[in-house]
Amino acid sequence: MERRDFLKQAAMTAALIAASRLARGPGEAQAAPSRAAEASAGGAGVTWDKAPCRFCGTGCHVQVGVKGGKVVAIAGDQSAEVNKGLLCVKGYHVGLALYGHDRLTRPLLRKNGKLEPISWEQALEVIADRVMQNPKGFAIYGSGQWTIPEGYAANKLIKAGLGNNQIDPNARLCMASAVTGFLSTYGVDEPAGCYDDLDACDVLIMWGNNPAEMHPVLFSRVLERRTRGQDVLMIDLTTRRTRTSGFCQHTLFFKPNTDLAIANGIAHLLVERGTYDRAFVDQHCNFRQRTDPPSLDGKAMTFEDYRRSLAEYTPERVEEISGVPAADIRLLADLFGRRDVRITSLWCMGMNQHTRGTAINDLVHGVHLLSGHFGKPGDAPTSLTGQPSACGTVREVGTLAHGLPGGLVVTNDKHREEAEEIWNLPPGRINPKPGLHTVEMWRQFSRPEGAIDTIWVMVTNPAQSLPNTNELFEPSRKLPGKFLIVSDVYPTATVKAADLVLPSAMWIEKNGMVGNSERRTQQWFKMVEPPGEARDDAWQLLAVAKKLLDRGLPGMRDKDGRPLFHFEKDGKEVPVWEWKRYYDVNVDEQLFGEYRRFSRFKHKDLAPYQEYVKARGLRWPVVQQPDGTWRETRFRFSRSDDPYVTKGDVQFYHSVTRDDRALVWFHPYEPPPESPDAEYPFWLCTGRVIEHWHTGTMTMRVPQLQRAMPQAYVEVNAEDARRLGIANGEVVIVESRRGKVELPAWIDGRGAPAKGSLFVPFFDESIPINRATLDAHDPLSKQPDYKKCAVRLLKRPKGVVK
Amino acid sequence: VGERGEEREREGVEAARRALVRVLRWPVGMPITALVLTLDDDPEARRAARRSLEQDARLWVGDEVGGRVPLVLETASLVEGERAVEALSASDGVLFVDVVAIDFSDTEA
Repeated sequence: MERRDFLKQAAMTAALIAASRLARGPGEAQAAPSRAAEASAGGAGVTWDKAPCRFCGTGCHVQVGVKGGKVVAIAGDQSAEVNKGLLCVKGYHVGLALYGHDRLTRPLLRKNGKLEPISWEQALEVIADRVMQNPKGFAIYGSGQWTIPEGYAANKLIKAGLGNNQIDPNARLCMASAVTGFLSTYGVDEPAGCYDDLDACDVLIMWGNNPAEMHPVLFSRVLERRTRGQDVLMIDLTTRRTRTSGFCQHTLFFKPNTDLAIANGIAHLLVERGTYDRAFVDQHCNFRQRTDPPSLDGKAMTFEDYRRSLAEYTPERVEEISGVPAADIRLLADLFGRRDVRITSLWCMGMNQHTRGTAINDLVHGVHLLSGHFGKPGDAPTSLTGQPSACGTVREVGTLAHGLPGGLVVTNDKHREEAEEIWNLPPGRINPKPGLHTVEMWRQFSRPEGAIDTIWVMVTNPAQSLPNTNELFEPSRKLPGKFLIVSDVYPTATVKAADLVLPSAMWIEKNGMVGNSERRTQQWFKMVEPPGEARDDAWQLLAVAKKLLDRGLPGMRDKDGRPLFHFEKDGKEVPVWEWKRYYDVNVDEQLFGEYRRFSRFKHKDLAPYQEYVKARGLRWPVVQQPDGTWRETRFRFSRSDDPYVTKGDVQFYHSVTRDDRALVWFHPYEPPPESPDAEYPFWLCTGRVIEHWHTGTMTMRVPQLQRAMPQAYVEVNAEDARRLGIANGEVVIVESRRGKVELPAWIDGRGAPAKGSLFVPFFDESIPINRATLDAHDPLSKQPDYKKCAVRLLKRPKGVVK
Repeated sequence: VGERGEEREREGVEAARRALVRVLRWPVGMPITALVLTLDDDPEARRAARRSLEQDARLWVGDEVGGRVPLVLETASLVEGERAVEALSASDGVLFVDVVAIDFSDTEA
């Protein structure tokens, strides 16, 4: 057989196995989970290994085929529960993301305005100089794309070493409100349910969420059920039409910011009709209202107070506020009032990037709790994340300005003591004052007298992704004394503005671990070498730590005088700060082993590293069984599955009120901080497109994706375009009170925006829409609102060429 | 924006131009892609979709399994492959396209 015939035959075998599995359910075609994939690329000379996909928070596993030191093939991992052997179009190209032609390969230092190559030794000295000059003013701005060991090393360096707590991640911009919503409702972060709920629900409600484009593998999992003849009622609650809308039986369009009124409208009908789950509420819920200033534990209210507070949210009043017909509010309440259906809610940026983000998260949890749609497979309020380790590295490792690993916080005396014990620090070493959250960190960096004078950015692109960049990013670039360090793989907008650039290894060029949206911790090994002098981010952190140790920075040793970071093999220290020795030990395994000790405090138990080597991820809490095996947990707080439930069918064992009850909150609808007016008459919503991931630094380097969607645009409602005399493709100006961009108009575009509203994707570096967005943020989560601000749409004056 | 901002913007435009040149020079290979198509419930739409698939010489169409069609797509380049997958997604009678594997070992990535 010719080689290509063999490849085609192997590809057909792989497709046939996947088709059989889809058609007949997961029990089929499992005899040879990865054999088809292994056979489907060249056979001889190709080695295969598992890795989670580099892109979103779904956590699909791929099989990576490597030959001659390069990735030559990618296959969906048939053994992976998350994606069951399937991938989306971005996963399809994940192997190519390594091979953009402009990878950063040498450290660069800005000299006389230009970035010039320097050695790693020089680069590390520059960073150490900046720390020693002002340890209090040195901050790390990290990412939900950090691996777990990377984030853990950065968190320990800042909180145990520098002691200023100045570390915050880009995940502040994408899921901080989900965190505060879980904390204020259940007393502990992260979803109780998991993706298995998608296989069991009868009703799927998407609250401002577009999984058909943003989490397509999860969405196809639900479509798969429908095509097998199962009834799944899908409801899209949205401000603009998306690809998801096309698959839903009901698409309910609401006015921006009015989702709180909709949730209150559902709760009102449940209470007034008596269709709420009285037994569940009596056994498992307390009621809360907000305080001034707002807090995560609020102020107690009775059920009668709650009922009275909801009284004004009649279907007709909600229709008036939100634009959703009263009949549709009743439809939603009817569904939640039924005990014979199982309801899963999904949300992501629509609810989180919201100045009332914590409140709307609370209200959606509240509707599920009030109606008892909780704790059974298919009955779950579940937030999704956009980055591969927003949960694993940010929420679990605690790389937020107030966080410590394992769900602990710096403001709690007991938590600091626990961390000091694990890190073997002298008592009182950890600073009880939280560092600055993202918006404030960058604001302080942008002011001459601001408290932050150096920021080390890792694995993210704030020049393009921060809101209101004219105020939060640009000013520092003109201020002497402000120094920006960036570790990245490609010359992003942030890299181009940096003072020092460090070339990083990416994805399977290094060992790694991440945690996806359903509490699943995943692991992979290095498979290929990084290009040039690019090096692991964890190595960069450990090498800087060694420099600071050598310079005698207080805090870089534990209470027994040992270095803060210490790695051993066969009882002897390994100098991992020397790059050529870095892989003499498995640094990930040793960092994870230490981090794992934190996971017991909030019942987020993690298994030993080697268990993750064997698995396609495990969902915490992972608890050892009497026979020595490790068991993951799919449904938290539910006796049927969660080993920590000891009383009743459902037990909220981290309850805010310490009585095993969750909190049902009342939050009123209020108008947003900025609404369209005569001067700025349009709503602006920003977001992603299926072809590109986040700021496009990787996907814009994949030619297929770059060609499919080469530049950003503004979607304009056809009637608005007619009124303003704007033609399809005409370059127009979108301007807010903060900034403006010029870009082509796409009349109706993919989203067919409502009259008076615009949509602009943010992936395109040449069209930085975040000049226009708002940095107003939720008072508790500090997450800004990228989904609504007021702008005007102008025709470009004739004769002006950008 | 400031001078450095404007400079960066100009650099961005220049980088985009360079990227375009790179795209045009992207080496041609012969990728092989394994796909699964989920077909519409309507029998007539399914038959029409199937007929359409069988007319495309680049496709090797496998036997349908419960509304799913396994496919192998062989194209002259990655770009053509990508376009073909997009076109399949938009075809009448096709609900969803899942990617199972892609082999670009003959493609100079």
